[in-house]
Amino acid sequence: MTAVRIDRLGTYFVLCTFSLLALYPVLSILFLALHRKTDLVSGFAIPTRIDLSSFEAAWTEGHFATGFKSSFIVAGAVTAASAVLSIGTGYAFGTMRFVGDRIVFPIILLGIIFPYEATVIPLYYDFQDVPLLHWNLLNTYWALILPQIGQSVAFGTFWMRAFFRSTPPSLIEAARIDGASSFGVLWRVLLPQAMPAVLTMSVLVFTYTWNEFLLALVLVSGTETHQTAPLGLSFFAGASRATDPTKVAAAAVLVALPILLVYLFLQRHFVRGMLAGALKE
Amino acid sequence: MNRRLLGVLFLVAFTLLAAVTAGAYAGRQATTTTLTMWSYDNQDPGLEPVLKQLSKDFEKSHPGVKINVVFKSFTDLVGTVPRALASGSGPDVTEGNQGYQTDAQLVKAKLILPLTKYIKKYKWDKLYAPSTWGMFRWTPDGKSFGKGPVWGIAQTGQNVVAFINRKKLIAAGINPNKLPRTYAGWERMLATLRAKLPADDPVIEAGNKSGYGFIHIFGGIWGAYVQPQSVRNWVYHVPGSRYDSAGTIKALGRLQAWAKAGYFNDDYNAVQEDAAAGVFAKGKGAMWIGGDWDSTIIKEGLGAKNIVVMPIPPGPSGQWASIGGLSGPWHISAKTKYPDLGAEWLNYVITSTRAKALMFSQQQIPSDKSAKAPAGDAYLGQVSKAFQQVANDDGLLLYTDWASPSMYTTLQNQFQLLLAGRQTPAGMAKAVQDDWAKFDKTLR
Amino acid sequence: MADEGADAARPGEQIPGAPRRRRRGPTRAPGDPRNIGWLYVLPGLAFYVLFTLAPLLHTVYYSLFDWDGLTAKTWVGLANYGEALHDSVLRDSFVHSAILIVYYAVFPVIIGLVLTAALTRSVIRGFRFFRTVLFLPQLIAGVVIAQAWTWIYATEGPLNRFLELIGLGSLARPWLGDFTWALPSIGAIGSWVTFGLCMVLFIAGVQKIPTSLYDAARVDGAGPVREFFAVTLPGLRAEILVAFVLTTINALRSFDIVYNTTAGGPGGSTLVPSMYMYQNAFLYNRVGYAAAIATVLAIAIFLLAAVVLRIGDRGEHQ
Repeated sequence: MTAVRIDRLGTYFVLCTFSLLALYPVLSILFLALHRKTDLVSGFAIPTRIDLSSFEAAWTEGHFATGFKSSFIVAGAVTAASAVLSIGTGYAFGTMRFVGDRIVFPIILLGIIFPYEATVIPLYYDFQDVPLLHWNLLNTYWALILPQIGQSVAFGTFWMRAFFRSTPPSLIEAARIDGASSFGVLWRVLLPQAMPAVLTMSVLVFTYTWNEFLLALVLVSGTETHQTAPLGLSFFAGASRATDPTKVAAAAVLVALPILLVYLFLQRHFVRGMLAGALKE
Repeated sequence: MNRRLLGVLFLVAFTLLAAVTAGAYAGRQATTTTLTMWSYDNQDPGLEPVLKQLSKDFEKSHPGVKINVVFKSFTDLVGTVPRALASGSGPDVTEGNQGYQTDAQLVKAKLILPLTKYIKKYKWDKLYAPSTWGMFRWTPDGKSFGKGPVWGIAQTGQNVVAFINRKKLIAAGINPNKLPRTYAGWERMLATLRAKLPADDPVIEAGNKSGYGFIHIFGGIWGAYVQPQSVRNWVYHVPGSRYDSAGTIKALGRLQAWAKAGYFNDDYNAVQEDAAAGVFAKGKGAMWIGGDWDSTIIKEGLGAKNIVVMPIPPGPSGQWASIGGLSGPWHISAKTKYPDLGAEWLNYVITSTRAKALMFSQQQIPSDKSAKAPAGDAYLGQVSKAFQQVANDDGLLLYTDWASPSMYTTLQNQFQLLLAGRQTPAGMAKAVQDDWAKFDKTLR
Repeated sequence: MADEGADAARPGEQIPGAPRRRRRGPTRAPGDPRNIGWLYVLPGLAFYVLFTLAPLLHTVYYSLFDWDGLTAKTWVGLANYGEALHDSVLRDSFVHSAILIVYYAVFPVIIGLVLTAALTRSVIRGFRFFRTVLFLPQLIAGVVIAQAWTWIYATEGPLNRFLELIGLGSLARPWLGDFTWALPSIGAIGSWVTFGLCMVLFIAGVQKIPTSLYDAARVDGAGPVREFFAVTLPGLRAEILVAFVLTTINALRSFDIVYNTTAGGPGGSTLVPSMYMYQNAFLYNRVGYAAAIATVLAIAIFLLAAVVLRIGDRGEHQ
């Protein structure tokens, strides 16, 4: 293999090609979505005119008003809760040493690679009939929120711990010497500096939660009222793709839109989050 | 910094919006009684317009009641309905599926109600021939199919038939008014079509993506080689029944031969059965073999005058047979707050004159055997006649995926392998019988 | 992702009596009560234990029963695992998963490395734009990706049209409905999901390698290939490790895409363990067996993660 150093022009050409590759699938459903139901779509399906009727149809028939509401509530709750909890755990693991910390932390790390497949079965049955309390939490937001907080805390702990560990110990020592309590140190000294890290963690957790499918399929597919947007898309596609692919394409675009919008404005945080492990000092 | 702020504001704005909509929504759930019903009968468009119209009519005559019909694809519905019913917040009335995968589960877990008292109240026993009720009967332990109380009731008759493009018959030199009345003649006709049609036009436009496409098509071939009663016995798990009979293996061989001879479109595994009907309706292929619940889209695409409808003709026994039965069974949830209302709704949807008229207008055959197709609609007459032909000959083979919870997947996989030439007919028959036997053991 | 705190003192190097070597990491500030850390940890830990760890153990518990999920359970001990060992469908599903890992992880990493080696190492203007776009696939929901690619792979879709345009029309086929090509097609989707991530990781990483190392290599007479293996590859070690971990995790999350494209077909050729588990638990009413599958899957994932991390660790200590 001879790697020839491509000059700057070549580099841009390569980067542009691959960027187009990355974009194309999204573009392709966007093109599809801009067609009318009665258009015969084939090949590249580049629209000759912009027609938003498929988006309208998708929104109303796919009941995405409900789907979006559910997705926002779940993703919002999970993000907020896991941020708060992870700041706590990250702070502890990152700046303190306590009995058992070396054992507990790796156990928490395990949660990052945990597949929901490993826990979805008991989650289903335990939510159907909560032990001791005998509640039925299926088809409620709790069924989606609680497990995802659990899993997000794993990632959040890893993330915030890394951040807190990177703060200069002298900062903490100084505050301590001034008589600040552990909470005071966190609240007044560390947290203001931690906002970028918290924001990064939040956008990632929000994205993963928004996109989660298996949990929704198992735990909230019983009623339409609590379905998340991706789940709604899956059912909608199953029921309508054969007859109206443009409508389904429009629905797909709608489901991807919120994350894309947030990404557009906060992309630096997404990227930083994903590259963290390697780019950390 | 600005962009970041903007992004955060976006997030906050969205969440606020969500909270506000949530509040508005909650307020709106006032004092109406909502009856939720799940169905998968929305193929192209199938019964969807009928059910939507009927729910409007029902709401008018029942102020304060709202009917919420939810449509899901067949596989999505049967995959989620047991858990939905068990959760207590699922549908009040739902379509299920006859057989061991779905209905047996629903009965065994006490998720649906026996319909005995409603049959008496609404005189539903007049709807079908006595033997037809078998497909809705289960002993309460969910083990014996075909006996015990009745748990479901179906809205339409269903049958798998061939819809043939008249123009293409003529182009191939076949007289559309003198189509074969025997299976042997049918096979000769297919060969002629293959020879005369352009090479890239399939003889049979097929859609097997969801797996039931070939289960359906096979039925017509099967009927020429086996006794329908033996198939029904096998589905009902009468002890000693077998799938791997000589007749079945021969029939599977014929289906494989059809594939080898190039009768099918080559993307059949990527297209759903109903989508294939749509493609056929736009002019591809000489025929489409599938459920008569898709008759509307075919009529809209090709024009009623352009279609010939018939079941695959009988074999040496002379008995007309095909995969078919009635539509999916409607059940009443055991956890619903409104069982009587649900039964009243079912009665309206299945037996009322209004319902039957609407069904006919959508080329659907009501299950009520006293329903007469309106005169003057030749196409509908054909579809109806095709159903009667098979039903009257006692040739309904039911749906073989009913025979065990995993039978649907087994058949789906085996048919795909068989048609791709990766499985022999005998091998497939054995695999299917093995699945049946494994499940059968748990019933004894 | 390796825990840096773990390398405090190499085994065998502890000199008794000497002051403990100061390591970079958590230090105890004067007067910091040791165990208040637990107060901060407990709430998060509680959620994690209740909703992630405990259910995992519960899954193992269910795997010891024969259960249809709706009526009573029957104890069968390890019988489900015995069945799993002989289940050719399960075995095949793991093979399919392994193949997908190659598409999700191995190909994109290799392609990313090759491209990185070939591209200019000087600052790329506008890299932020490319980075934004290349990252996109990671953020899109699996269900949406499935819809987009089902269309691309459709018989009348863009891919076949493209093949026709460049004269390779004979290769056009129903990709997701083809026995041989369905799995590679899904694999290709996986490569699409992760390749941007790898590229960005490596391009950013390579810009941090000091040019002096390259100069030194050149002085030693190394050609581009030697340069790659002697300077670039070792310099990107951390990035490569992260890439493998992230892409493998992606590969194991393929349920969304498989369910919404082929549902395991045709003929089971794209069945993956998570899909098979779902079928058993919720379609065939065999919850105990499904729990056994889930347990085996979890063990496989943990083992895989351990192996990857061990390799990464070992590399670091060399």
